[in-house]
Amino acid sequence: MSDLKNILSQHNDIDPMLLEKYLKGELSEAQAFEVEQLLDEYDMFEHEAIDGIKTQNPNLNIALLNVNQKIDQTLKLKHKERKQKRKFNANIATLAILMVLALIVIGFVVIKLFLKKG
Amino acid sequence: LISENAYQHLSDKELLDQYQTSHNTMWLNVLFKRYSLLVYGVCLKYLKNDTNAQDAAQQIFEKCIIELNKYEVSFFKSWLYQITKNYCFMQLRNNKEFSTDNIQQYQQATDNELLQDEKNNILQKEITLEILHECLAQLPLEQKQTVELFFLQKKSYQQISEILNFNYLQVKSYIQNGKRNLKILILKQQEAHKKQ
Repeated sequence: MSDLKNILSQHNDIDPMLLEKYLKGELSEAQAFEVEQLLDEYDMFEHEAIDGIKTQNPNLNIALLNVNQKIDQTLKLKHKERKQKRKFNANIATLAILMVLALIVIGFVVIKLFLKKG
Repeated sequence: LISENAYQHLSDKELLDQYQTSHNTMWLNVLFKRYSLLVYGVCLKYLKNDTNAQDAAQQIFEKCIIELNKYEVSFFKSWLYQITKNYCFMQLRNNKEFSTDNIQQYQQATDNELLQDEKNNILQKEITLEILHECLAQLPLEQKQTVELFFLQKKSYQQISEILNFNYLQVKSYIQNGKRNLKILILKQQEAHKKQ
């Protein structure tokens, strides 16, 4: 379980500079309290995850593989959706430009016809 | 999809910034996989079922994608923890409602019954507070003092170490252990109350 704790706690998104300032006592009380709350939340996050894994004892490798595959699928889908949306928007923009051009040409022809008649 | 290890040196903030500027989901892929085990573990703790926990983890990350497009997140890990916990609580609440959901029962519930529920809730809260005080008193002195100062009096670790003359690591350890022991004691007391 200590290995698991190490794996789970290897990422920490507190700015290292901020952490250093905190350890040197250079932060204001409010900032220090915020850092401590964050550290405390990280501990809770890791503790709860270990608790869940320890009590349910699943096949971690398979479970993690499944979760990561699902993340891949979800992100690929989002990427595809985004691409399609962009393509759709580009099509709409092209269509709009063509429409404007067509209107200009029609307008030009109509004006020319009027001028001819006049 | 990508060589994830190539970006492991980047911080959460850097990955998020890269995503916000490029909207390329590969940055989220690196970020999410960093925490997939943590999220899965927490889901497992609350939902107590492997399949449900895996599904919940997927849903949580989907929710993250939507939320990240709307808001700027400064501390991803703690934000993710809140989202995970909220999602699990919501699931538990929905399941509870589903299992006890009896429309007729709801329709028959009179105002008096609702009032009684309210009274019971207040009573329950009072009992919980009483239990909390009882359990706090049962903690070892160092844990009791640090927990009280940190959670009830909102003192920082530094202030606590000055007040109690402990070093930073001792304070951190006492608070963590105190919190864990307090939780265990409260659960035990609550079970005892239920049996009574």
